[in-house]
Amino acid sequence: MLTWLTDEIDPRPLGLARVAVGLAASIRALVAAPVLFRLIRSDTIQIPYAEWIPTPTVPLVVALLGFWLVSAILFTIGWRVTISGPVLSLSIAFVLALDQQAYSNHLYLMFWLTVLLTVARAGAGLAVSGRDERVLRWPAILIMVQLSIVYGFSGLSKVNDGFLSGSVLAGSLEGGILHFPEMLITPRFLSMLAFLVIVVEVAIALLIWSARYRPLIFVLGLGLHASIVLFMSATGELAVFSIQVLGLYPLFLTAEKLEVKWSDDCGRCALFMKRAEMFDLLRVLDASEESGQDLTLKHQGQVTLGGAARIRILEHLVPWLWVAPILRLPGVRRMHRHRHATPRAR
Amino acid sequence: MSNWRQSRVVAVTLIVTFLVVQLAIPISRLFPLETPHRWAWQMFSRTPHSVQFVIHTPTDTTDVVLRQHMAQVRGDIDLTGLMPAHLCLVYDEAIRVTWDSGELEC
Repeated sequence: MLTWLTDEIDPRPLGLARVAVGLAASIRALVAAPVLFRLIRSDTIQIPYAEWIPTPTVPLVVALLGFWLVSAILFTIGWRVTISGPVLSLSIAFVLALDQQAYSNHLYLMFWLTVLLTVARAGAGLAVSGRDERVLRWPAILIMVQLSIVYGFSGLSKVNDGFLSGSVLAGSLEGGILHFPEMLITPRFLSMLAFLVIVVEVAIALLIWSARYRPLIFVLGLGLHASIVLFMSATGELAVFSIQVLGLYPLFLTAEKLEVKWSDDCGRCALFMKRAEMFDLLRVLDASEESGQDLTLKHQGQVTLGGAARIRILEHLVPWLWVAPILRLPGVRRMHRHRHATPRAR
Repeated sequence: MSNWRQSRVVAVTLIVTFLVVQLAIPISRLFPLETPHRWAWQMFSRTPHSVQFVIHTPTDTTDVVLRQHMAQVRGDIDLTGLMPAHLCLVYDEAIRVTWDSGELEC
């Protein structure tokens, strides 16, 4: 176990997570700015955690936001992550500690993710330097555990009368980008929706670790985040949350290469592979031509052909990995199979 | 202590701290169920603290709009302890602040 944890792994999924979290942190600085400036107003109540915590002032807030934004941008591009990471973590920690009103679960998550990504040397992959260096596995595992903990406790804490009755959801489904259909705002529907939300969150927490259910979990995760961003208020904050969380999903993909073989005789296969290689940001494809072969994928001891192979390949490419599992859904799969079938098979 | 040993100590310390903070706090805050708690990943999970403050002056009464007196209205903050005194400070003419379960003479 210890050897497995201290093994070295490909840094690219961590690099991608760093880009997502850094991008989310950059946007979050802009979301936090109005809150921090409102803290300075004389008619705003101040609720510090302790008396010794400095009172917010204009220079303090400007400096804090400056450090936050600059370090977040540098963190995103992977420039000196050993410096930009700690500066970003400290800026976020300072904001969280400044006043109880500055707290947000999403910001607290961002703090932990920046700490863990810094420890994980997430700057070793997909960074401006262009050099990839392998990194230790255990910090990446902690980041994955963090994701499970967030979904798990979020689901468990919803098991209460208020949430299950649908009343908490009713209060949250206002002021989103899209108007939630009024005909669906009934106690019965909201109660069912509340139950579904709990099931989805707990399922993501547990099953994202399973290779078998992962594609389904990716689709559920995308659906969950898309719906909260579209239908709930605080769109900016929820979009930031979704970016940073969805950016961690690729960490759960297997590190094993996808062995793909195809023949030039199959024009569609050649075109598909040419495009696939453009999106192989995580360098998972090990592709080679072999005459007489239709598209064949060998991965995790399984051999997959044709349309099914295409879907599995797409499930490892950025940004398709978040949406490609949709192609596995029964109706969609039939359409996809028909579209990609060879003329003879049709 | 060798570098290898130092890095092991740092790793174990971080892992233990992470797991304690990430498991102990959320578990300890799962109950009571009524209102949300901070540091426990309770996003949109419970009915937020909600209170209506009213300012009384010698001639008038006014309902307080919390948004005007908070940097960010959060459901996990119980305002009954601090907000009345703050309102007395902000509104010179206030003689009393009342809310659902109490009142404060300014």
